[in-house]
Amino acid sequence: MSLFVWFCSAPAWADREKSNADLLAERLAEKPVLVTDHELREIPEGTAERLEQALSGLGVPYFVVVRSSGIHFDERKTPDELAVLLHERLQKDGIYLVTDARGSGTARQYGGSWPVERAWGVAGRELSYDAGVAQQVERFVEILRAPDVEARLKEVREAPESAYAKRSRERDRAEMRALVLGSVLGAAVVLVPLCVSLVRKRVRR
Amino acid sequence: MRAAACWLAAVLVVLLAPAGASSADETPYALVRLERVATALKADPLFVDDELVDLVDRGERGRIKKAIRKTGERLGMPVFVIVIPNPPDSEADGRDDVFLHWLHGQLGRDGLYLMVDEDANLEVVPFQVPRELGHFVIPQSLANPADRKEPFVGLVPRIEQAFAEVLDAPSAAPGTPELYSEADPFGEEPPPREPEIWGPFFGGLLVLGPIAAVLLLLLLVLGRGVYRMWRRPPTASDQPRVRRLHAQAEKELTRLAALLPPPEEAEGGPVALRSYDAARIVYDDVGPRPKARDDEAALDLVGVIVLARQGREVLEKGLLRPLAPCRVNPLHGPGILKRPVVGLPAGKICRSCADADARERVRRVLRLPGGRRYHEVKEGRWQRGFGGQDLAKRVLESLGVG
Repeated sequence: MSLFVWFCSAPAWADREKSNADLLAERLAEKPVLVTDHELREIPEGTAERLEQALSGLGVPYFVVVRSSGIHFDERKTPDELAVLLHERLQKDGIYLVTDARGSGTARQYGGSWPVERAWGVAGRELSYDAGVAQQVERFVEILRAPDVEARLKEVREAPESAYAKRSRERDRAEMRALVLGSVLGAAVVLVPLCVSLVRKRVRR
Repeated sequence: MRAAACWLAAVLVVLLAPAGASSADETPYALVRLERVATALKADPLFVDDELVDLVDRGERGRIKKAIRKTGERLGMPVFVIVIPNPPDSEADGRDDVFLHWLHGQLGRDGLYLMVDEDANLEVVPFQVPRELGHFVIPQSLANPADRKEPFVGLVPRIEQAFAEVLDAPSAAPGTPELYSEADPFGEEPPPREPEIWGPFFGGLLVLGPIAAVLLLLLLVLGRGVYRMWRRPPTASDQPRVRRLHAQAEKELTRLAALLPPPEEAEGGPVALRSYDAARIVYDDVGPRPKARDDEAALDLVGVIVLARQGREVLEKGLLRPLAPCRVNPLHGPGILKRPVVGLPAGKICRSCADADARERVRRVLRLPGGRRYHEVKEGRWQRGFGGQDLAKRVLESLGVG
């Protein structure tokens, strides 16, 4: 009988292919912060450690998946779907954070009622788009640890200018200065002799 | 994930210390993923990354492995298939060929490498494979999925077809396609563009500046013209409009009427009255709405203005006789200097006309709306112009009043 059960169940178990969610859940069980290595140029070294350090300040369990961004296919789970699947597999309470390297994602809390999803959105809006996922997680934790979380969520903080935007603005300004300087000189080259000759004509008359 | 990668990296560094240097001179962090994949490939020639694991099922994997085995046997070389996302921010800058070259350096084994990225694009790089293959190895139609919306449908036949392309190529000495351009240096992407200074400067100096100067001059000239047109009284115009002449005539008449009747002691009293009478009658004759192109009305109105001014001058300045108006343009006011004007009988002209040179003087002669100069009119009341000692008397006579 037991052999029969084994016989019947083993193929069923063996046939079930491990999905992306299964693999992630297995790894999350070992280590609560998973950061993709597909975007090494976007995610700086030590990001996982920074995330762990920031999140440990919350005092609740956390499970973080940072996936690669810019990948789209129909079978790919949305951050929301993946968070639910991960919780189903892990069966553990805590904050589930699924995001990509640019902070586009979601947060969910099981076994608690913190406004984590809103906090994640607010953290993203308060930062420039190139701030990086580590900074966004740190802001997320800061928001959740605020004395009055509701007030902190409603507080509107302007996102600073991104480093890229700042650099290109300064570059535009420098180029515009050069253009204006050149134009003024070019105009002077045309205008000054003209004005001089006009004045001379007037004086002669 | 990263810790696992670090652990693997450590193992790899110990095991393969000399081979690690071949993937360019990158920092150890840049090689984390390459090391992970290389380690996995040592155990299994098919690598499917976790992020794409849902796109290649078990059956497909079996078929790919079978194709790998068969192709490897026929080539006599290892064959690797790597299914992995390669986003633009990957260590290989999102370039699949760069990734395979670096992976080859990391793994240190020659053979046929086939990569499938997240869009199911195929990249094949043969390292020292004894076949004569072009730079792109497989045709573009095979390298890209047929249906961009369902890119992973039909992946296995495409891989098999790619292998067949390589196997069917004519035999040749082993060779490796060259990597013509490398990825950006790690950590310096995209290389920040420095501001261009000299381009805009010379653009401004040679093109924009001169154009702006010319436009500015044109605008100034135009503005001056418009300003003069609006600010100059009709009397100052060389070709005043009938409507403005009419308004001016009315104004001059009103100003003269305000001074009437003249005081007893005014010596020019009768002259002023006569001027007013003449002006008034002519003005009334013209009517309230003269036509814009009516030369006769224009002349009449010029006469009204001249007469009314003469009457006013006589009273204001205590003159006995009125002053003859400027010969060039009677609307300029009294003529005071004797100067020749080409085409006009001798007479006095105003200071402003006297200051102008001969050509300018001719240009300034009063024109009628029809375009004729006023002295060219050889018929009617004004054929002798507006000069003479007593214009008012002459006009009244012509009206049959005097």
